[in-house]
Amino acid sequence: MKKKIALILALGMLAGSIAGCGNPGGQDTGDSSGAGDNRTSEKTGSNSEGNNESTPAASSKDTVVIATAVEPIYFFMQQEPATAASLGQDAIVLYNIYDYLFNLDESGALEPSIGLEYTIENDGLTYVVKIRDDAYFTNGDKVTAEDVAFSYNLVFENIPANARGLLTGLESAEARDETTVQFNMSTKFAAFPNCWTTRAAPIISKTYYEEVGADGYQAAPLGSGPYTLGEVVSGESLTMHANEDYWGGAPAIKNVIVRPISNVNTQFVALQSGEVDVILNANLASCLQLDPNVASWAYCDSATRALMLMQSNPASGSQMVDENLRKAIACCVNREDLVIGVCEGYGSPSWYDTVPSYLGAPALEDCTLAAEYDLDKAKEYLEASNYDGSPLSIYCNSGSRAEQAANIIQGAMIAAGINAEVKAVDGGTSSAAMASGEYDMLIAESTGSQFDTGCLGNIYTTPSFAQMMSDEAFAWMDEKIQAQRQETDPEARKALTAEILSYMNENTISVPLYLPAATIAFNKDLKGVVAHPQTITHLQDWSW
Amino acid sequence: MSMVKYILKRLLMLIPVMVGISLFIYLVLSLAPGDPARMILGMDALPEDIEALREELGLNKPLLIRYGLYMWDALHGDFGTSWYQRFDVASEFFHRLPNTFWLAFIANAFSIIIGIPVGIIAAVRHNKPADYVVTFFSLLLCSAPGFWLGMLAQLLFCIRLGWLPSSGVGSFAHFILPALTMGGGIIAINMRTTRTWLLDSIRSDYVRTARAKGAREGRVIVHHAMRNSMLPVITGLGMNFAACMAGTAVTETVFAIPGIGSFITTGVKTKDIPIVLCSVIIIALMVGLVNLIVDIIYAVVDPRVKLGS
Repeated sequence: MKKKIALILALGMLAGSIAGCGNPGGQDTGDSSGAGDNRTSEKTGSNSEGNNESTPAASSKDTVVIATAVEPIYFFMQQEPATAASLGQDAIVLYNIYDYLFNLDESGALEPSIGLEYTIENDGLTYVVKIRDDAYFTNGDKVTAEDVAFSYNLVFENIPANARGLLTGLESAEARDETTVQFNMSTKFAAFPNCWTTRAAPIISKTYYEEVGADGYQAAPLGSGPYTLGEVVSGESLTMHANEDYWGGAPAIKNVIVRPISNVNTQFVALQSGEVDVILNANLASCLQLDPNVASWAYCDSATRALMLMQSNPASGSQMVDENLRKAIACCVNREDLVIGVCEGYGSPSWYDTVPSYLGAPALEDCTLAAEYDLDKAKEYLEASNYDGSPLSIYCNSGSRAEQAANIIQGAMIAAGINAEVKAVDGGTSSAAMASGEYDMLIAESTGSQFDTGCLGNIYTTPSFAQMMSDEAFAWMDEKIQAQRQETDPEARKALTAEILSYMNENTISVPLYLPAATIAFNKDLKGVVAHPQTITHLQDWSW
Repeated sequence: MSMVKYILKRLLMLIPVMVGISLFIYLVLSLAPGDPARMILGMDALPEDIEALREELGLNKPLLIRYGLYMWDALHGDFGTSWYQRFDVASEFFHRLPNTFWLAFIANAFSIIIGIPVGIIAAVRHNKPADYVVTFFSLLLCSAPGFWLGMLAQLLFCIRLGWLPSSGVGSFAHFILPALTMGGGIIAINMRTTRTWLLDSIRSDYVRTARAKGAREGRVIVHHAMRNSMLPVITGLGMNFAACMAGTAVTETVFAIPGIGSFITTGVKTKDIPIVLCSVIIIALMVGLVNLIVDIIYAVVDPRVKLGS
């Protein structure tokens, strides 16, 4: 009797496992281990074949549900600009309810929006932008040059000093006439046009702001973008409705619902069951498992790079001050392993500390690149160093890609004879370590404020980074970066950038690691979806 | 009268509990590494900006003064504003509370509806196939981690069968999977507790006497054995409900339910002290009240229990 019961229970468990773990809908998912035949782009960010045939049900839909890992919070950047709390999660709302002066396309080039064209005057200290005269806020008021100037002046008044990189060099903005805006610079900044695309300065209505104030604007934002903000249910959902009078034409998708779903598995279950149509920043490993009959995904090079900061400030007391030790560690970085292990094979190795597709990025052959993976050479450098065998810490955020990278690098360092300890910690602990300089190595991913090498200065000239370099190195970097920022001749600027990047590699100030891909997963019937380096989504381009 | 005194005494006892819990949480969060001002402004913030924000948030005051000021405001109903998201934390807490309440309530309802009858069957059919099956499943449910159970349930019921939504709130259907996932362990505990205590009662002299007097088996079980064996189960129900209210973080994350579990998790991750303190104080208060209600039910179920005596 007991044997029979045991047999029945075992069969029951087996049936349950098969039912739970089986392929949804009995469909063949095909090869999920390699490139994945359900993706729709080849690192170009363009959406191609694979989602052209929509079902009849899809063509009658006018709503899209988007899953994001973090809930959008700030809808009025002039009040709360660029704090760490208002990062990428707000972009889905900001870039669709507001217009920006210019947009950044998938290749990193500026494309006209409210601004049509610009000229540079006064030796790079004045920028003049001609704006369109057929744009209206959703309350019917016309967008004027005064609104544009007001938007920039207001954000500049409120922006914290650390976030001024978003509008580097700007002193004030003024309206020359109804369709011409003038930007006055305190210092030259060659990458300034890129600042017009950053999330910090959406175009707001001066009249409406004076009427409702900052809190009123946050509660009921008014823009001239393709969508208007509808109901916001905290923690649950946010709705946007199409602006039928948008100067660029009425969007095909009439309603957009944004739902915060933090769990990656749940995001993909919701996509495959049809509860959501799009996942922003989709997890790569899960994209590879998507059922191609239900969903597609796209990817492109992102504006993010991963790097390992090396403590080289003599005041820190770290053994890392020894240059030979730093070089030994640099030789332990196997970028191919990192791209496979961290980016599922869809990223690129990083050889200098910038994104090669940024405007103003020098060619690799013009720079001294980071050391290649070579354990024998690492051992030679180690032999020449004064390393005493005590543990060296690698700080990283727990559960992040940086932690995966740290584990891979730790393995190689141990093989070379370096006693490395991975310290996977929460954000608070890593920021405390960074601020105090109490780390040997720290792995972080960094996304440039501008899609331009000019954003180097937003990092390497700040106090936190002064803690990790010798005074001499910091002074050198500061001087060169200021010169690079002000250089307006493209070739001379590239040469300066190459000099800075080479210096960083030669002195092992940081070790570039990998360039992750930007991803987006979506219902296969949805058209016009493309991956964007900065995860910016222009919903008016989408349709069923 | 003694009952009223007892309730008042218990309510007064909640005050030191509240102070102890809130002080402990405040100290832990404040002494943990990481400056909230730096976390809010970012890694590359300038020292003067950080200093200004620290001043604005009151972080430059001594720790106990900060705690005292917070509690004074809390006593006046002001639980503060989120440092990151700038909303009123008490309003946000109560906005999210119904989702967690319904999740905990439905999970406990499942545990009562399924766990207790099945436990009774197991006890009545002691050492028979039904008992073995119940024992097996209770062990399975006890040992299966909630998040794993939840993810398997999503694959089966949301993708393969398409019967239930995988995430969010808005209807009863949204709560079925999360409640079953969270309630799995409680169902198992209720099965085991009911079975164990009912078996104990069934073997008692007064049950044997009832049978000897010719009472029907159903009446013996329901009216004699069960009533006595239910006290530990009722105690467990109160504890389980309290645990559910405070322990929904994983389930809420897996099923994207905007409840207080995920609210607290966000607060802890970002060291947003107003969020965590407000949530902990209110939850502690609710748990204290639930336990008080359980004790009152105790007295109703078992006449031997005299509250306040």
